[in-house]
Formats: sequence, C-alpha cells, structure tokens
Amino acid sequence: MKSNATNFIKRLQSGKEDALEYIVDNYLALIKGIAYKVLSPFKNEGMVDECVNDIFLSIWHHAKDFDGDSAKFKSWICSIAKFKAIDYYRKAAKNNEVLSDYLEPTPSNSVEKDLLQNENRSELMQLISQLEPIDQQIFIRKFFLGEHSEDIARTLGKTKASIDNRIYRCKKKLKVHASHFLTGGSVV
Amino acid sequence: MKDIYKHFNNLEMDIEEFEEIEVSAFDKAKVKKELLKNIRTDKQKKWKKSVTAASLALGLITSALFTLSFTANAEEIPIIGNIFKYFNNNGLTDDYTEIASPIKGIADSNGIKVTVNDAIYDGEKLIVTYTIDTNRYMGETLHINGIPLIENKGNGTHEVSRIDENKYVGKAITFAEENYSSIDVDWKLDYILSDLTTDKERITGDWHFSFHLNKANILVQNIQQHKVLNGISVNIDNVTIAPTSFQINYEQSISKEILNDWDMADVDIEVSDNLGHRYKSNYHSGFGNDDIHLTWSKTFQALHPDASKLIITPKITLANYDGVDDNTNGSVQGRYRLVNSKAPIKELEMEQIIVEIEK
Repeated sequence: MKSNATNFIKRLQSGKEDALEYIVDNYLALIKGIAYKVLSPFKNEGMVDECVNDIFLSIWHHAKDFDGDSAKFKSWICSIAKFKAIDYYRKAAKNNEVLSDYLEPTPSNSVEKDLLQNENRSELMQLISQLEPIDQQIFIRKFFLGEHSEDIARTLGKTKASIDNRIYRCKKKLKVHASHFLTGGSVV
Repeated sequence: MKDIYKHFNNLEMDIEEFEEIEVSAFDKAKVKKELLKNIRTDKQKKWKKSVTAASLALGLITSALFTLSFTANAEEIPIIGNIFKYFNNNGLTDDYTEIASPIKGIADSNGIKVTVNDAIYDGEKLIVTYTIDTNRYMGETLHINGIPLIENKGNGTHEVSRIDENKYVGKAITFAEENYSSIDVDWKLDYILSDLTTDKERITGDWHFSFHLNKANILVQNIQQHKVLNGISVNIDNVTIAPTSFQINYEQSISKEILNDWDMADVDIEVSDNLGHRYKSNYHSGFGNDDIHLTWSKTFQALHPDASKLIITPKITLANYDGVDDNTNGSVQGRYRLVNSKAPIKELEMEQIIVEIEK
C-alpha cells in the first residue's frame, strides 16, 4: 500500500517510509521556501539543504506528537520549519556575527536567551507549561519562531502593547522559576 | 509535559505568509535519498553539527566533478545540471558555462529513451551524465552495458539511480589512457538490464551517441603532503582548480588514544595564498565509516590568477559532546555538542602546508 492524501498521516505516525516520501513530494516546495527565506542572508545553499533535511527528520521523529487532519498538518510542519530555520539562523548568526531582521538584540543575560541556548529545552518546556495557554502560544511564537510582536498581535487579534506586556510578564515569571534551575546548574 | 512539537499543534500558522519555491524531481529525489539514508542508519554519527559543515556527501569520492549548466532538451528535463549535484553534492553549482559541454542527444528505442545531458573531460577522465526514461518500473537502479569510449578505448563505470516514477539518472566515468587535448567520444549502449530479480531480460536497442569534446579548463593537482600533531594526522590529497572555484580534498586520521579522551576530533583547513588573500569556503563536506578516518572535501571561491602558492593551515578541534537526540522510543539517536556548551573543547593549529600551484 502506498501513501496518499487520506492515509499519509497515519502511515507517517506508524513509521512507514513511503509516507515520508509522500510529504517530501507534496511539501518540499513549502518547507524549502520557509528555510530559504529565513536563511537567505547567508547565501549558503548547503545550509538551506541541511536545514530542510533536519526539518523533515524532525517531522519524522516527532510524527506521533501531531494531532489533527491534513489541513492542520500543513500548519504543524510550517511551525517546525520556521522553528528549525530560526534555530539555524541563530546559530549561524552567532558564528558569522551577522545581524538581521530575524534577531532582535537582547541583553546578554536575558533569561530567554539562556534558556533557548539549551538545545534540550526540556526544562524550558517545563517552565512554559506553567504559563497560561495564551501566553504559551505568545512565548513560543516570539522566541521559538522568531515572530515579531506586531505579527503575533495581528494573528491573535490583540494590540502590540498587550502582547509586549504579556511577554514581559512571562519573562518575569520564567525568571523566578529559571533562577531556581540555574542555581541548580542543570539548565545551561 | 508537552514538548515543543505538541505545542505546535495549537499554533495556527498563516500558511499564506509562506512562499513556496520551485523544486524539481531532482531536488525531491535528493532530499529523499538523504533522508532515507539518515533514518535507516541506526548508529547515526553526528560529527560536526555545525552549519558550515554542510550535509554529508552522498558517499562517493570523486575529485573533479562539476555541475554544468544545460541548455539542450531543457523542457523535458528541467534542471539537468543537477545530475552532477545529485551524485556528487559538492556544492560546485555556480556558473560553469565556460567549461560545460551540453550534448544534444536523444535515442529512443524499444520503449526506453536515453538522453545524454552533459559531458566533461578533464584530461584524466570523461564524465557523461544521462537520463533514462523507461516504460515501466525496473528497480532502483539499472545495469547498463557499454561505456562511453575515448578515442575508441576506455574502461569505466556506470552509476544509475531512480529519481522518479519511470525516470533514472546516471553518470558514466571513463578513464582516459592518455592526456588528450580533445577527444572523440563514442557511446553505444549494448543492453540495459533491470535491477529486479523478476525481470532479467536484457533489453537491446539502438542507443548510440558520438560527440567531440575539448579538455576542460580544470587542473587536478596531486599534493600528498602530510602533517602529524598529537596523534592526529592530516593528509592533503589533491586540489582541483576550475575557473570559478577550487576544491581541496584531504583526509584526517585520529589515534585511538585521542578518542579515549575526546568524543569528536575534526580537522578543518584554512586557505590563503602567497599574495595574502584568504579564501572563503562555501561548501565543506566529509564522510567516514569509522571514527578513525574521515575524508573531507572543501570548496573555495575562485583562486586569484596571480597566486602561485596555496598556504593551507589545518586546524584541529577536539571536543566532547553534551547533547543527545532521543528517538521517540527513548533510544539515543545521536550525540552532539550544545551551542555555547561548557563541555571541554580544545583547538590546535598544525604547521602550514605550502603548495606550489602548477600552471
């Protein structure tokens, strides 16, 4: 049996390789477009290819975390693509010392920066789970997907000021929790 | 606790915001090939998880392959120049029109269409890329009898991969017996054989190509210089110089004692010339079957025409890992170094290797 539009999610979740081929066939243009847009300042085709590969591998390894239909699937893989591309961007920018639209200058000791640098992120995820659902969403969009406050505000139908305010309060809340982790030496 | 991938279920992305970019059957095939290789490798070795060390080579060592731009039959096989890249993945994708030799050649016989796409001859070997359209599924590869001949002589190999429903791409390498300045190529395919055990009939047909090629403006210079430091040795094998870039191939060997103390040992090279230019690399890839030997290939921007010496500085990085990627079943998928890791790391610089460029 081969993967098609109705069964590919199930097949992907049960680890069938042809499902991975199916999503490459159908979504490569989109995924590559996302990675390319974020990483284009580096003019490094190899980096884009590596990132695309990494995105598909993440989709493969985390397929079981997905919950929904094919329309939601498209949104889910776009989140992963953006997340991975931003991750590559941050690492590369660090190496190349390039500044850009995607990076907002942050103070060197900022809590989210410390936390984001931890690739495991499990402690951070634990911290995020203590936020309210709406704040979780804002926080992930802002720091994992590199979205600007204006864009988040537009998506969620709120004002920029209220988004900034929520981010400020989240950071404050996280800082209290994070300092606990930091002194324990387990986070970064 | 939810991981980030579960959180993504709750984010509604504005799909319209994203722009698709054009991808070809080749691009898809290339990504699939790399992915399947990754997910099938149980003991995936994540050495050099840095962005500069771009994706791993596809597992072929070839020193002088170039992606050629292509004009003939473009509507049928849109991005044929990528055949070289598909096989080689060495990043040499820039403008090679000056050394490219697009060959216009299609032979359709017995339900199988063979198209010759590009050819290049560097004085040592002839490389011909081709596309084969079949009328049925014939396995993941094809066996082809008949190698392109250089001046009616030659030994070589074919490598064929299936890239789409009934479409295959191939690369033939023929080794030249002499260093000719130009060659006549004659290629007759005697028969094509399916890769399926259930399909063992030789398919014969009239697929015959002949064309003339000039030696490309590429210099392959053997170096074979060796340096050792603290149980790590590096050997610079050769340099390939083309009009728009040059590529250095080298190997590293690490002693077992080093690997007792360190998780990872990498040798990178920095290259400058006798006039003081430093060369930036846009592609770096490598592979190895074990922790001891790795073969690397690094591609740089065009060499300055007045440069007469290359100065190669090998740089060693010894590092320990502190990151782990887990599979969903809890087993370890790969280990690597975290960004801003505090785990031990040590960098060493080797003595310079100076290469006189043959002109």
